[in-house]
Amino acid sequence: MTGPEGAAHAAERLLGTYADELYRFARFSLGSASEAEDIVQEVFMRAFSAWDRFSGRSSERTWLFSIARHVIADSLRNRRRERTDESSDGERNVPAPPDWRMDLEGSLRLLPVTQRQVFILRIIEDRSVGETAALLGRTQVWVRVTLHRAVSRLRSELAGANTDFGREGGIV
Amino acid sequence: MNEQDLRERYRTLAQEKLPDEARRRIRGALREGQGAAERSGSGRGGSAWWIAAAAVAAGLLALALLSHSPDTSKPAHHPTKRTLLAVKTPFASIDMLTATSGWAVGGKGQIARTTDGGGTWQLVTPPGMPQGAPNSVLVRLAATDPSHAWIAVAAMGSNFRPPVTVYYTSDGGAAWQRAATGQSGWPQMRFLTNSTGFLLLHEGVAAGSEGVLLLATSDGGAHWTVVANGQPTAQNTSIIFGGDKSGFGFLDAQHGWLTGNWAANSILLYVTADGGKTWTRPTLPLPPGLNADGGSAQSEPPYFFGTQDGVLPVEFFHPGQPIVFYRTADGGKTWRPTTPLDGGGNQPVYSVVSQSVIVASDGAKIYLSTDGGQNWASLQPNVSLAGLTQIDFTSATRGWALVKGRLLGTADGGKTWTQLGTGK
Repeated sequence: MTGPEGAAHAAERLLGTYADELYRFARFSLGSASEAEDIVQEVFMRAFSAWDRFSGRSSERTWLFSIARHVIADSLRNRRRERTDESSDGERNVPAPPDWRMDLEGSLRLLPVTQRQVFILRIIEDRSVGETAALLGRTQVWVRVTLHRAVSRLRSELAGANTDFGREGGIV
Repeated sequence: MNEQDLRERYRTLAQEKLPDEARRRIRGALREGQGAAERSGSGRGGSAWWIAAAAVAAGLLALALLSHSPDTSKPAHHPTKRTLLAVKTPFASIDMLTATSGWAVGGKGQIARTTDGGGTWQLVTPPGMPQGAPNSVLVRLAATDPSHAWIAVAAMGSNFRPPVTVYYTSDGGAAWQRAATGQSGWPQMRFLTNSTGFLLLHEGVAAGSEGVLLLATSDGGAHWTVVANGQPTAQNTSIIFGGDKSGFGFLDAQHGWLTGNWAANSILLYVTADGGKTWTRPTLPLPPGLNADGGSAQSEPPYFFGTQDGVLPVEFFHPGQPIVFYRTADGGKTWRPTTPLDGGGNQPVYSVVSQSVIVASDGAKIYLSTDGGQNWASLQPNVSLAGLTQIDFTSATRGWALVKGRLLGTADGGKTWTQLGTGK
């Protein structure tokens, strides 16, 4: 399957097969549904343009996640650059507390991005340690260690909150 | 909580799907890209197709970036006053300074203090300080005595690197001053004296490395300056970008340590002897039978007692989840491992009381060492400590524990625990 026509069919098939999991990966990595939609589009645009160069040395999923990781990293770098251009004042930069504050998706924001991505693939997507390592381009040991740290961090950070992690914790 | 429990808990998130409207939009963009390629005649992945695709993507990313509104407010600090109130709340963390005096952060980011050993707590949250659940507002507290405390607050909002503001008091929370640091990140804070303190701000976005900023104050928190930049910028050559950082500690204003985890087969440790300006990377000996392969060892912030003695905890992600307390008797020049404490699969939480007394718990038992971690004795507490997130001891016998947000206290080294902090 080569050329624009072949790539178009491939992109359509890949979109049908992988769009949802890539969307979840981007959305929970970035904490933004609208940005995640843009990320998914960018991933498929890049995949489409590079289809002829996709050699099949890795699986389609691994290839798409590799693209997604880079696009997400670019997006985070842009956010970071934007932040460094701003002067800071905590209160003024904070929107009104949103309703998501104690929901599951909100709790992922407590994790650094690397831990968050391992958590997404291992816990939410239920991928094996080996698959997670392949999709993130890391070793299986790294995946196990990072997941352990992610879970520990969630437990620690949410210890006093009125969540499932600390539901029985009320003093009153 | 094991991984299967977590999967059950987070199952609903696995049902999220790309919205149909977005799917249609992507299909349209792909067709548009295909059309551009065909019109250009460039065929298989040619440059015109790439330019068309890149232009669409760049436009989308630019729109996403423009949707952020910049913060143009100025750093400021001003005094505030408040009345002390009673508190009844779940606890997120505690910092007991003596058998009677301590500070705490509540589950919603409230600040409280006790003068009766944790029996009652008074809310002393600074007026106007952002509050919220731990995943919307990060609150870090440091205290040197019952009067002096500092709070680093980072309100997440839509930011991955939230701006950090410091609140500080010298009268037990009756009045607070506020200082914007001008910097952003996930904060950790330590104060050595009532004037000298440090803030470590985590960037937390790299893979196998992590940008950090180290800030210092010499006037009690009113003004902060960046003394170390571990961010990956072209101008920056600091070595401290490497590895994920767990925290830091300072012996004095000059000698400090950064701790954490990296993929190399060694324990991550950065050392400064000039207040954070420059760093070196010493090699720590590994305990017999343990290795640091693939990032399976993580150093934690050190504790110092006097000018020479210190304790450096190192966690190993091996079967049993052991923790090893390294000791120094020469101001941190050399560190020697002691006997690994096996948590039976649950990494123990610990309280380093002195150079010799360390108390730890895996939620099932209490472990006590009175010789700096060489030998350990265990005992069975009278209540279940499952869900334990913190222990804090001020002696080998007097201690506190946070279990699922509840505060428990012991006066006999952890055999008997009673619930505290139920308010006035």
